[in-house]
Amino acid sequence: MIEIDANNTLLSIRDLVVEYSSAGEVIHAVNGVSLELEKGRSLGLVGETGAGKTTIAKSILRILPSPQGRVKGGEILFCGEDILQRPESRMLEIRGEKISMIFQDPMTALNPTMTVGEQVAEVVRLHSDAGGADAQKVALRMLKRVGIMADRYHDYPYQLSGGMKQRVVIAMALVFKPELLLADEPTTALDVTIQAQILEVIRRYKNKFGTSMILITHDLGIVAENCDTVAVIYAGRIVEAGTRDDVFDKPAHPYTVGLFQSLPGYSKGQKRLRPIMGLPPDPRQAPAGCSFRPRCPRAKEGCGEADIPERVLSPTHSCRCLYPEVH
Amino acid sequence: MSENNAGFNGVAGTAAQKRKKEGMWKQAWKRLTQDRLAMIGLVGLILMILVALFAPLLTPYAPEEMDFININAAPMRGHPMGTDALGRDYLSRILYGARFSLGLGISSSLFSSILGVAIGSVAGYFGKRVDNVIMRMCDIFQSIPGMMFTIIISLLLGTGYVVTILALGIGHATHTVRLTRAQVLSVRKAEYLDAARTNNCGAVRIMFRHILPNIMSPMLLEFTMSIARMIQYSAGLSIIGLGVQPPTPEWGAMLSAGRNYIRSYPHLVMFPGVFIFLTSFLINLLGDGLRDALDPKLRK
Amino acid sequence: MPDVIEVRNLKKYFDVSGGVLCAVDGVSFKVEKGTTIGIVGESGCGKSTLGRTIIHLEESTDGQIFFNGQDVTRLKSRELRRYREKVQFVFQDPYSSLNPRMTIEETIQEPLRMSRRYDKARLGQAVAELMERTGIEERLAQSYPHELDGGRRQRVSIARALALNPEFLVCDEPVSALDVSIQAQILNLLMDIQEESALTMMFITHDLSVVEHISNTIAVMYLGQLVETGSTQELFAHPLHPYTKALLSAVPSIAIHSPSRRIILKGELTSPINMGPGCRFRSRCRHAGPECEGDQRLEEVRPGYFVACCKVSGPK
Repeated sequence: MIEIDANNTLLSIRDLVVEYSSAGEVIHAVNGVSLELEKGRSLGLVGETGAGKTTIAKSILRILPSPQGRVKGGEILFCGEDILQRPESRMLEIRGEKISMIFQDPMTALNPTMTVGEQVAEVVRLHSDAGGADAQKVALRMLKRVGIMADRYHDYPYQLSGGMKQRVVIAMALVFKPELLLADEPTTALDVTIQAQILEVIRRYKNKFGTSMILITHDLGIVAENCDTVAVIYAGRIVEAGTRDDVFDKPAHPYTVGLFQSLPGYSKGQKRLRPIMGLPPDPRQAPAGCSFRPRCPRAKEGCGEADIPERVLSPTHSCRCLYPEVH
Repeated sequence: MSENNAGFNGVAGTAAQKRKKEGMWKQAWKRLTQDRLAMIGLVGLILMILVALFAPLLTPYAPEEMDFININAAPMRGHPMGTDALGRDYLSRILYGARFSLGLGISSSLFSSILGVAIGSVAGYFGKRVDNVIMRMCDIFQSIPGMMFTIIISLLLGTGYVVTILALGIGHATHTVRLTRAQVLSVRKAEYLDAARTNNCGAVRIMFRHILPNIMSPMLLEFTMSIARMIQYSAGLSIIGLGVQPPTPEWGAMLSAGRNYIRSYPHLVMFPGVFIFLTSFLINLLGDGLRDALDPKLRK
Repeated sequence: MPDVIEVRNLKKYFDVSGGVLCAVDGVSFKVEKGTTIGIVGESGCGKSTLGRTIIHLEESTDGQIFFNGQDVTRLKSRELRRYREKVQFVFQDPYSSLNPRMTIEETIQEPLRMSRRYDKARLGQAVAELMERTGIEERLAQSYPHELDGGRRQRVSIARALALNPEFLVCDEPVSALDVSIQAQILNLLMDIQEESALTMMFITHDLSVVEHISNTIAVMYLGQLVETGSTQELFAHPLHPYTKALLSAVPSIAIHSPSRRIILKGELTSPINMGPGCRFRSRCRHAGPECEGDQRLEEVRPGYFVACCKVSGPK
């Protein structure tokens, strides 16, 4: 385990295991994930489709689809409190006030039959004693903070562009100054210039209120610009974790290296890209040993035998590989 | 499951290998067989069809054979379901009736489906003016109450078995037209249709190869469910003196003939009524199962 | 090298409620044989419509399209058939571009069958060759699209497009739905194919790092018009139009030690309905002034390099 200043830890996930079951099949979505997040820092959770990123976020908020999704083991400590053990009534307080989430698709997060201003005000009313006019005032201030002017208060979601809708979603998520923001691919559906705007809004808010964030994304560029620490997830396991500089300067796990090499523009002047061969494993079958082994250029005999232990490379940098890249 | 160790040697073909060569229909069938209620419906209907096919072997009497001693008899030895006003064995008539009722339900549904799919897909595919004309006609037809429309056609065409099939089919087709059109519109924007056009597929090929197979499942469901409705409609027609006429032993016609004696001889109404109900019920069981099997996303 | 495709002042307008949508509004460019042009822009800028209009999935409103020097703007059905064998399209969404009820083999066969130049034996052989060329395992021939992952589906889509050896291939965001590692496989495949057969390509995308990698020239599109076009190297090294500059600066970079200065644009792309005269970017542009009220034309500021901005001074 990487040493962490315990007093400063906001969120600590240990050995989280989550499964989905549907039609008699069990899908192993998260297979023993441990994460630490300090107060005021942001963690980039990087991985490809189906790696288990969103499942982790939903487990933190305890909003896994029921009854298919189930936490099979592990603990999630938020400010020292194991939220997996708390009653639903406590979760109602935590959600929105302490931990908020921004989803990828702003359209599904907004009610199409309610004006956007009212939706923000509604969140205020639900979680506080503020009455009608007060709630409206708070909502207006919050919308202004994310860059939506007062004259759009009475607009319906369909009247706003994708970027504006995402701003409204952010306003709803941040209205109570949560301590932890879970941003699940918040800009994937948006164009780059709008993405830059949205990330700027989040960044400014974070700096002002010292909010911690888990930013879930597949885009390493976004991580580079917005996160302090990085965790790379593959097939439901964290394969590499460290500070941003650790992971970007000295990627150790072959999967991390492969991700970088797949990027056009990573190695300038080289015509052919170097993709990772093959495909991610079938999450219905939990393979023994390293799950990246079938695609790994460094795979050797020992990789298939037992679970790969975490290997500490430096006080801030660790990976799960028997033969990590040496820099 | 031979691919358990999906390839140390590189490319893993996960789901593709497991469900190898299993078409969508086959998968739907598999899901259907796991649905107990649907299987009850299916087995019941198959029994019903077998009864219809082998009616001559199963019945003790011919459906027209009269027994002058027993007229309007209640269920008794020799006539388990009694006899009707002409002394005909009611069991034999009910069993023969399965032929006519199921036959009528299936053929009028088939007729209305073919008509509706043909017109609806033309409307949906060509759009614009064609669509407009067809849909306005549908509006007109549908603004006449459903039963009324069928009655008008029956009045125009006359009574009898084949004519009733036509009347029910035409009367019901507007519904299928709308459904088909909506389905065609839902796949019309799919990129594979653009791909087909850039590959020089003509309208006919696009329709039969690219559109219809992809809207088959809701159409099949609609066809199944409408069989039950057709049987019921036909009974309604008989009651007001249209539709299938005596002496054809169709359940609706029998129900209609028996209603004059409902107070004294309730079995004359009860038996055809029960069979109409039972058939509709079985069809609906099967239909609900089909809906889940064809579109597994809708489940739960 | 001769130009395979040339487009002159191409326009495609749609009637919508509330006016006319100028999806493509006076676009001109040329593509040399064996090269790739990248069309870059944000969603709603008309880049997909441009591609669809060139391959005649949409009929152009005005302007001209030339294919190997011949005017192909208006085609009769027989000419259109021949044109479509030479000009092909790879679609964006690998989940919607394959017919779910057709096997992989049937899908790849379709263009060959439609051309009526193949008998049964040669058909099978041609399909096998195409599958090998695009890296689709033979055993998948009888599979259905839903059994394949996104990357393999996109390979099938490419195989289908290559079936008749087209001269010009339009790729509309072919990798944007795929994960990076799979994306790299598909980009490599496209580049290999281009090298083998001197294919000319038009690559439509919003992803700047992808076009930088794959294109020889780039055209940046904004609200139906080109704002800047030139060689890839020049454009990435010295972008001139304020929109191009902002676009390039907005791409998150993995270079953590050399942070670039970001230009955050205000406002968002509107839809080009009833466009008046003047620079279409001026409402978001920080250099905008009264002179931007006039129409902007693409001016050649360097040999072969064009910009449509009155604020950019070039040799006149």
